[in-house]
Amino acid sequence: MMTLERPLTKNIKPNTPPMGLHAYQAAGGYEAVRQTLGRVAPADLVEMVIQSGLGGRGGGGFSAGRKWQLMPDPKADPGPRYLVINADEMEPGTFKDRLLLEGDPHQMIEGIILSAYAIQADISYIFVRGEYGTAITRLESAIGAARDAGLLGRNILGSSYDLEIHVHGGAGRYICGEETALLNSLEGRRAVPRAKPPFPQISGLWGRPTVVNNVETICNIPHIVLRGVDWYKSLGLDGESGTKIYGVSGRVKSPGTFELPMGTTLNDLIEHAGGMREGYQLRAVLPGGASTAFLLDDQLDIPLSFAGVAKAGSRLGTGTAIILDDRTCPVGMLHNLQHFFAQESCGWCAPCRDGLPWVERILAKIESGQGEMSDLALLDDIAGTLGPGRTFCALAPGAMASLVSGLTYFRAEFEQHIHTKSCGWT
Amino acid sequence: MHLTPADIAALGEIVGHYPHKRAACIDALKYMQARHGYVSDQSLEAIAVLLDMSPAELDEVATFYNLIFRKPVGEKVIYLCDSVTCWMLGRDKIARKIQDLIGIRQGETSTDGRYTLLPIVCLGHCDHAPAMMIDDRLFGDVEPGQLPGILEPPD
Amino acid sequence: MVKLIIDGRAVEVQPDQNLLQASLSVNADIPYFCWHPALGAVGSCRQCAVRVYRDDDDQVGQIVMSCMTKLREGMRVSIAEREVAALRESVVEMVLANHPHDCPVCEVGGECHLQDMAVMTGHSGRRYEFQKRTHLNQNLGPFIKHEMNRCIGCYRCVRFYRDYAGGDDFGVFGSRANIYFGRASEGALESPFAGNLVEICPTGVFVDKPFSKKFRRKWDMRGTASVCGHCAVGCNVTLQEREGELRRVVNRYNDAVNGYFLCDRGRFGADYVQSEHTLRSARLAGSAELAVNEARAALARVLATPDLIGIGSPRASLESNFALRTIVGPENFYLGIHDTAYDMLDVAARLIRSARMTVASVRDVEQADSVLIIGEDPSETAPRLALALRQAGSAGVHARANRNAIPLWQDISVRDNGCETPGALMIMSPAATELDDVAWLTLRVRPDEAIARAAMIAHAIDPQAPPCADMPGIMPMQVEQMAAALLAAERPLIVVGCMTGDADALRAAANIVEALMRRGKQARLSFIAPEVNAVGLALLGGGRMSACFEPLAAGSANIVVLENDLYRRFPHDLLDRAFKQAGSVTVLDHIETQTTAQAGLVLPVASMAESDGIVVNQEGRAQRFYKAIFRQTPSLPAWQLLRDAANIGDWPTLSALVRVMSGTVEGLEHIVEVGLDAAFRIEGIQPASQPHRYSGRTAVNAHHDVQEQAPPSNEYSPFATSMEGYHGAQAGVPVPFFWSPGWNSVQSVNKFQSEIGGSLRHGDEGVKLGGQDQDSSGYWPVTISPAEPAVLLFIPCLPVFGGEELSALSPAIEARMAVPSASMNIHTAALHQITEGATMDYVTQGACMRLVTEIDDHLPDHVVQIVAGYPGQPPLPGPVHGQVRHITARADG
Ligand SMILES: Cc1cc2nc3c(=O)[nH]c(=O)nc-3n(C[C@H](O)[C@H](O)[C@H](O)COP(=O)(O)O)c2cc1C
Ligand code: SF4
Ligand code: FES
Repeated sequence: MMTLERPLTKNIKPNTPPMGLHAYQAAGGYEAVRQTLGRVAPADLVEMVIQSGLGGRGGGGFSAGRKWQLMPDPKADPGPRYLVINADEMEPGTFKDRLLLEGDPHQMIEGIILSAYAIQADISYIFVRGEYGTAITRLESAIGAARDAGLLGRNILGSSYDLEIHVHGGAGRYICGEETALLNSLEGRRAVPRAKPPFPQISGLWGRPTVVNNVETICNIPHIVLRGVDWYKSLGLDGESGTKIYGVSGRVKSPGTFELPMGTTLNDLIEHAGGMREGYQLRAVLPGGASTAFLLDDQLDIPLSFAGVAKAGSRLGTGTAIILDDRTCPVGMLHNLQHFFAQESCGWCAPCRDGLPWVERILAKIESGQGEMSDLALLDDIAGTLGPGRTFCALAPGAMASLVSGLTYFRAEFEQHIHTKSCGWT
Repeated sequence: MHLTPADIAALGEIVGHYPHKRAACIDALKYMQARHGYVSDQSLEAIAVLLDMSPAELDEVATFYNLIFRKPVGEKVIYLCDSVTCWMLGRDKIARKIQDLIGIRQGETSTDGRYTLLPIVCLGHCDHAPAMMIDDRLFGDVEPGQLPGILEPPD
Repeated sequence: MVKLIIDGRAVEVQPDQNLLQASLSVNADIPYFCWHPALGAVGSCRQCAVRVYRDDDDQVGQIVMSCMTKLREGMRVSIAEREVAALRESVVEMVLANHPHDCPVCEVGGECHLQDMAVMTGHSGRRYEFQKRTHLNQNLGPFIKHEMNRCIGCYRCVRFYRDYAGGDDFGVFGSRANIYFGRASEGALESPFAGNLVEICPTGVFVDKPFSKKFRRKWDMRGTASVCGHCAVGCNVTLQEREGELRRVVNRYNDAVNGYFLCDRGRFGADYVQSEHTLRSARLAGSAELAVNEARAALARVLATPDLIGIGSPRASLESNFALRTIVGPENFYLGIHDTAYDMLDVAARLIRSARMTVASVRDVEQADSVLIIGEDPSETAPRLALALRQAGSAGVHARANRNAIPLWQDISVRDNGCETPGALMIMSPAATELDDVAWLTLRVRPDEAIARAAMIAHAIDPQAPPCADMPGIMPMQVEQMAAALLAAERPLIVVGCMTGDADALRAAANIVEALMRRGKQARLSFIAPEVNAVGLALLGGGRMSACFEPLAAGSANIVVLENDLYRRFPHDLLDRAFKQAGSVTVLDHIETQTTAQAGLVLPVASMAESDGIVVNQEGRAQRFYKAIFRQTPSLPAWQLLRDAANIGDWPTLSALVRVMSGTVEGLEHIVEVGLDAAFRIEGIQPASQPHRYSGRTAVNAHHDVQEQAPPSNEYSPFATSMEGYHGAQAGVPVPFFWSPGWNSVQSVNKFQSEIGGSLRHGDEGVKLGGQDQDSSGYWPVTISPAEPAVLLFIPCLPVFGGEELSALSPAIEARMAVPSASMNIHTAALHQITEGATMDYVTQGACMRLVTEIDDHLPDHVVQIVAGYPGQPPLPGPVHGQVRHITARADG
């Protein structure tokens, strides 16, 4: 069998500190920066990223290059421009960005330099969730080393391009991962989302042109630059490009992260995780974090690409699968999920703020055996109200993804709770 | 409360990261919390003055974020993940065990003031669920039986 | 205009509004909470969902929030479609989940936007069966009661309080379902616009506290159109009354003046009409009360004497002033204001009469795109105007939004996008002002320095404008910059008031406007007049007071003082002497003052709330107020008392008097067009002033009389004093209560506007006077009188609460008055060996004020800012030189 290429994680060794600047450079690091700054026109770099087919790894899959292309011409709106890295990673079941941040901070920095250069940003902020202390210290020390080596600061490598990177540690709240809420948080405000349009490219940090990208998205850039569009496209399956850092958690034998070709099937992924633990059957999967809809055990052959999962009625999301096994109460799981979302609602829009706690309470009621059949209809109603386009941001619709699919797929379990007035699973 | 010259220098350095002072307010709240365990009204006011914010403006921010404490907490804060994978893999048992050991439920501080137990959203350690964090040390694959060792580490 | 098809109905609407606003304007109701015409849209309540269809072929459409949706020509919209209607009902159900069922005991019940919206969506049954979240309330001071459990989280309060009004002591705390709107800690809300929360909140979280104590339902009160009497902005208010008592003051929408908002002085300051300070009976000095007839006879005797001197009042109606002026003869009528104010008003009156000069309405102020403020702090002297200036401060922000194609109604997006854009204001004033945060330039300078700069700016804009002699410390660069900023604007505005105490400030301001006009700009002037009818008084004309004190000194004149506490304006020793020399002193007023205390004969007259009349605001807008309070034993309006005592036959009615005034006084010709004649009828009937549902009329007095009471008679206004009469909007008829089917809350004002947020359908009220002088272009001479170097200059500061005569007598306002103090910078304090907190004697022109000293490093050297205007304080009519003395400790202490 051909050995798979793992560009994103090739430098990462489990339980070992990340490569320092020298080791990273010895492994070919910052070569892409040297070849690009002052040599490649920013617009050409943007074009290259468009051609590469790189889709945003924050969950949406939107073309990274096209996102960059929406930045106004610096001459049309002179003044500071920003690149913001979304390292908030709080989606339950998601632990891929941590790997990249802790495992290879220089790769992150190199990706930032290239991307910031492409969009002509002068400052980049890495918004890291506050709980990722190790990632924060490793990033800060890598930034220090890069700055000392002239890879950051003024006139980088004599290219007359200037860039500063600052690490901003968050103070909690899942909503900070929503890109516009993140901007508010970076500005020292309450992390409530902003209306779109205007998109951050037009009015981002402090009203200035800004791009927000996920950690993994940006970590791809050096490899695309160095090895070319064709190579990058050839990495993926199912018509999508590159590799993807997938993850699996739940009752599998070896939960963890796996860098695999984009479009790997769910079956293969679970295989990489060693299959189910003894005595457990796979019941359903949330393919890409808590905000995605369940897939059932008969859908395991779908490719885990943005298009592939969408076709199966869910979303690739973060590509980190959460496995529901046959010995876990699906109602309990949904209750746990909705508890999370109710807690993490930012409180800005009414249906999410007041609807999610209601959902949570109904689920608790059903789980504890006090539910009535009318509660199921009520849940359907509320799920409709919190659906896509109805709330201010995608948090509540994300919450409804698992609920709506769960209400369909686990109807029998719901009714069993109601009829037997108890939960059979504890 | 007065900020020490060292505080002001440290905060000044953070302020330098942003084009506007108030952007440093979350860092400043975390900084004060790291020093005093929580953000007292006095700390809040001191930061507000430093960053040209009103106390109300700063408290709006402080009360929004769950990692900022506006009330005193124990010497150590135990953050026990309550998100989906950890829940599936037994985080409730861990919570019960902690209650057995030090007598606190979620949201409570032990009477000796040593521990506060808080639920936390997914720690990004799901491949090692159930996970928990004590201050900034991360623990994974936690078994109830390991808790006495974790909570009272041998010196 | 843009064509839309709303549920099959083709309509035409104004462009540049959002779909919600457009729909409401064509009577297509969509429920909403977070949107407000003045605050714009943010899309947080998710209540205003509609379905829009891409084109004729689109049968599926898309659900959108109408408030966040731009208009598209030919757009098809459905409000009624089943799924979207169900969605709206479901959203209301969610916000009601935690809302208490306390409508019967809630002050807002029956005029609650939340109730209206619940009904509009058709929501009726509760499905939420769990415990509701509850909150503790805060004591927010004497104006506002806090009932947080009623909160539905629409964020309007913070958006008004902070984003719109600039307050920073109120906010939203917490997150998720646990959000709390209040202060960081308990205490009075600091913003002078906090009272608007009562009308901004769509439910009952912020309640009018003084009103709660004399509460009646909206339908149980008579509403009357009136004008706020507390400053020269002349905000339109509705006075709500029952049983002869003023219950509350609410905003009365006037697009050109106050729009949706009042200041707290106006909202909570009117209780002077029924306070312990109200003058209820006549008396002769030294003797007991006079019966009504005796008092009138006594007045008749006074008016029959020769040597009459009449002293008018800037807080009395045009009619009363005119009556006195007519009776004593124009040559014996004095305006009753300080000479500096007189001089300024004299210039102001000429500017208003000028055909060339455009004096800005509040609406114009709000729309200015570059503003220069000369020596004034409008947030003290004209709070509502200051609120408009704050909006003008966002001109640059709006310009940036336009460049980035962000619609101006998309409020937070506009603010976020412009957060680095400097404010559009330039402020030259001695002390920091509340508007500094929306200014790109603030200069802390003495009044003379501000005037000199203003003169130089005019000269820089147009070299024909008179130059100004050099003054030390003025940087030509700065002057150039300010001139350039004004020239770069399309609608520049110059604001000046009386705080400089120097008419040259106004002349210099007028010169800047003239210079800008000569450079092709649509420039405007805003002069902040000192009191509600100061401009009216100036247009009426009369002598200056220094000229009045001369004949007084000659002795034996009989003085009649109209609604004026001269002790607030003139040195007390001067007045004491003048009154002693006078043959007699007669005072007509509705409150007890130091002047009534000195009078020989005192007669009570009706206050604005209890009478009809006209006042003229700073813009020259004449506005009519109507009698709102009907007391058991009413006092007559002063003009009527004077008429009867002087036995004048020409004015059988108020309208007759107005006609005579219009024919006699140059510049007041159009005054006959102001307001409604008492004989006005609609289809033969009077407009009603009580709502249809006014209840229990017969029961009100049942404890002492079971017969139905006759409604009080209303001699001079056309309004029926009962619920019988014409209901509904009519051209030119001020709206006694905004109420419309399905819209019981104040939001019903939408239904009375031609466009939502625009003028009232039947025209904005008031008649703008002036503009008749054709030959009035040209520059004014400006002379600078530099302050003496190194001598202390006392500058009055007139606090919003208590710095004005009438509101200070209202209990709620009284509770907000601070300890009067004097402020100076640390350097000045050191020079005079004063420490912070020291109590000192501040002495000027014979007056001595014992005040606590505060340090304020914004102030220029040698300037002392003195809190003035509080009851009992000696007058400080403008900047004056003074001294500070240490209090000598008494040896026997
Ligand atoms: C509630 C919510 C939470 C989100 N959290 C994250 C996150 O933690 N990390 C992330 O990269 N994107 C997150 N996103 C997606 C971001 O809004 C945004 O789409 C992403 O950062 C764009 O980066 P990309 O284009 O590189 O994928 C979240 C979105 C929502 C609605
Ligand atoms: S859906 Fe609404 S309340 Fe929920 S997180 Fe998004 S904006 Fe906040
Ligand atoms: S009015 Fe449209 S979302 Fe609130």
